[in-house]
Amino acid sequence: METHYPLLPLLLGQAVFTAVAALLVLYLVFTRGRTVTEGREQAIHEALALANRTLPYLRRGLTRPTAHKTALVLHEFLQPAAVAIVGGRQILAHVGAGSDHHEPGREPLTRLTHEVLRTGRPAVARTPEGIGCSRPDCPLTAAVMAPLIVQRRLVGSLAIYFGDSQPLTAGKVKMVRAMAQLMSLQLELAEVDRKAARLAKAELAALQAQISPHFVYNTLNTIAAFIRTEPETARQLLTDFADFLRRTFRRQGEFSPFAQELEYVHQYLSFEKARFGDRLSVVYRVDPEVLSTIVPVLVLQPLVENAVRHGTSRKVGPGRVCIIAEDRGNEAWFCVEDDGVGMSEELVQRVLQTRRRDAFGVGLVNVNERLRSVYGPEYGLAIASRPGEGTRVSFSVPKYKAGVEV
Amino acid sequence: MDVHWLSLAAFVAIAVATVAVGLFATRVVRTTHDVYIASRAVGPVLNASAISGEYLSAASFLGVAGMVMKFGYDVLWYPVGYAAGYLLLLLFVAAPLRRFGAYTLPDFAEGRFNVPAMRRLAVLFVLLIGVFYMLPQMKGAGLAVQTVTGLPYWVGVVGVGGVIALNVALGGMKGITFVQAFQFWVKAFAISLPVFVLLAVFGSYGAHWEQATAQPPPALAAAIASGHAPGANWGLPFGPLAEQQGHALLFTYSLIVATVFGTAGLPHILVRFYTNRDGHAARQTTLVVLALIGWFYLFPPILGLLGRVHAPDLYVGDRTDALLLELPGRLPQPWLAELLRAVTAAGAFAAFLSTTSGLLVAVAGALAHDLYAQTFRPGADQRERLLAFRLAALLAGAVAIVGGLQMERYHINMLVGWAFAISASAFFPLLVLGIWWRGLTAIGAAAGTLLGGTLASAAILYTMATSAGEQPATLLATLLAQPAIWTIPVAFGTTVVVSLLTRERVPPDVNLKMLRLHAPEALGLRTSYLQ
Repeated sequence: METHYPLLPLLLGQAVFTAVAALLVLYLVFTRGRTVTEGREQAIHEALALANRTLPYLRRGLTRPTAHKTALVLHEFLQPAAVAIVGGRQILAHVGAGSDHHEPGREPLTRLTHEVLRTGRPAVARTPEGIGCSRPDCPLTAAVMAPLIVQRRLVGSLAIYFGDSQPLTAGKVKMVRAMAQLMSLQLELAEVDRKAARLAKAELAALQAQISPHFVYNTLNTIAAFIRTEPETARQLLTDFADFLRRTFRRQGEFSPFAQELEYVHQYLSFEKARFGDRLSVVYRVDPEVLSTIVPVLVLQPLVENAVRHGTSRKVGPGRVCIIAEDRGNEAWFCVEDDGVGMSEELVQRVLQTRRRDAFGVGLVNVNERLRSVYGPEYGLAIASRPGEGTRVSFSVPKYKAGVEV
Repeated sequence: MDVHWLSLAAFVAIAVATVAVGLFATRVVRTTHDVYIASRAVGPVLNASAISGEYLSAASFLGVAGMVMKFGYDVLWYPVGYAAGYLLLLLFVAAPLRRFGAYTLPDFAEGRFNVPAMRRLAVLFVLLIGVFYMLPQMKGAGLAVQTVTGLPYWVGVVGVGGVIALNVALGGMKGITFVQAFQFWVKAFAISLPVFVLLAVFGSYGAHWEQATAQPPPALAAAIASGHAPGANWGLPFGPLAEQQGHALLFTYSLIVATVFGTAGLPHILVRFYTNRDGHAARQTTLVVLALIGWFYLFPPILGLLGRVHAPDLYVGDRTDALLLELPGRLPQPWLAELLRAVTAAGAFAAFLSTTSGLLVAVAGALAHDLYAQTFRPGADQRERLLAFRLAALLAGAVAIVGGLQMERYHINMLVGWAFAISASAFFPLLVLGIWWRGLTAIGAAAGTLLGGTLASAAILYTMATSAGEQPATLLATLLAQPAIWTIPVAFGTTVVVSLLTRERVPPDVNLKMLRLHAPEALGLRTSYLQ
């Protein structure tokens, strides 16, 4: 059956289609223009985005995996023929053309790379002969190479290879050099990170080896005082002290179960109680559920030592030290309280805000620092003190934290 | 219905005793002499009592006896499944997980792969399992209060749920090991004493068996005749529960699979293992748990038998879930009846109190610690974290109460079976493969957990929405009503296949992780503390 298409709807449809098409064309024209004027901002944005993407890798240092990941990012971003990163006298990564013979782990094959590594200056080659690859069938035709320099030391080089369809412009040369400088900066950050970690380890070792001279002096005096009157007690104290010192000087690693910390504190307090006698009383309130929590080493003893030394020993009359460990679900909470002379507000602030060790409260400051560096700033020490009334130092620790293990 | 005042007093007594035990449980040590007591670890027997206490919920205390009475002796497959899960824990999970040092399952999920997103995924299912497990406890509470005081169902749910939520929110984690251990011994006493008393009063076990199967007393015979109660096949190994060939049997198998594989993934059980000193102690604890739970489950079936003979009226109103609270009332001496009723009421209360508290702590902890503190607000300070926990406990409690109010028509054990199904589908592959297979990748684990858990949850939610709590009729309905038998293999298979497909993403430190999981303590590779 023959159908007639009515005229009016047809015209209407045609009009709508034309209108839509016109709008589309107008939109494209105007947005294209906008893209052009925003081109510079776009380029800066892309450059910063690139830096952001390579930082997490290079921050861990220049190794084969990090170089490979970085080269992938650069290759995706620049779309050159190939990207190569050389470090420590070997090819660390090669992404793109020529990766069949430019393999990671081998010595660099191009004369150009050797020249850059020797002189520490950037270099450009516009022909395959200029590149000087030892393989005659190498597809790489043009290259820009720049050295990677960390703390005035040459650690490697970055090479961007271009193909026949990509002309080597001055702009490209500048870009590669800038990129190498950026990478060098990021590698410097890795160096700084490593140094900071080494410093923390050294401080910990020093803390572990350190023992308060006052404490040794006082304990030996206490033992001496018992020799005539209670020789058996003196003998026991002496052997206990020897054991205590042995434990202190032995390298223990960074973390240990809380029960071990508690034992160490028991031992320490046995000497202090021998010295102070009835003047010092100690109360433990320990939830057994937190005994297996892994905590940093020497995290409790400095707090107790602080409580005894600055709380009780400076006080006239008997003093009480409370050691509390509470099970709080996903966290364990620890607290050392004393009813001694207390600390002034500014002293408390000084302890909490100091980043280096200083003469007073060396234990508290170090404990605070270590807690913050392992668990985060919100897990540092909490100190509440009123001069003349006492001090309470507390902290909490997640029962499990990735990376914290004995 | 009159109010059983002694039972009500027993409720209150248990609640007060719980709080008291919690307060006094913390070791306060003052003199020099017993200073080492403060650092003595929780031993296997104590910890096993705590785990058993937290594990034996309203389902075990009230539900099993009622189901034995209603469906026959082959309901014993339920307790077998409930207990057998610990065998799997003992063989595959307990020691390695303790050595790993993870406190919760999300901890393990993140720590095994060093991928924080795994923590969030695990938390999702922890919340789901926790809520599903709390619902039957709420039903038990509503039922118990209704039976004891005559007040409507919702009073028990809101009242008990509210008390528990408040207790947890206001710091009810005090001395949790001792509290849960105390609850276990209350329950053990409360389930065993009635058996001895009733058998002493009513006659021997053998005589009851005769009456239950071959020569039913008049009331029972009437119930059988009217079709409310199962007949002589009640006592057979494949009795009424399995007699409808095919589907009911499939349902039972699926349920057994769910309970056996789901125990390891229950959020409130895993955290109790952290208290153990080391992996060896964890294994010892699990062994003792098997013994304690096995011993406990000797008693509910006997009570079911006694109920069939002495309380057949419960068949007629389908009130067999309340058996344990009604049965003492059949004793001829009223004072003895009231006393025994108070004992079982105390046990029932201890049952849902302990499990609900444990679940609430686990769920609130997951919300406050894993979601809030680790994911949304990493800089939250101590006070904020504590507040987050309190609010989370109240929120989760509210959800449990609201959910519990809707649960009146479902059997307690059905609800529990669902929680186990989700736990088995989402977490069992993650745990077992994470602990024993080097080739597991984060993506594989995530895929398996997500797929298994989602399928199981979807099937269960569909069943909840469409059925009215009765036994499923068609094959499809059965598979949806208890999905474990197909969701677990799917989860396992997905995990394995996706891990093999992404094998280049195996974590580089997997060997270190394996060492941490499996190196025996005797090698002395890690310092364990002295005792």
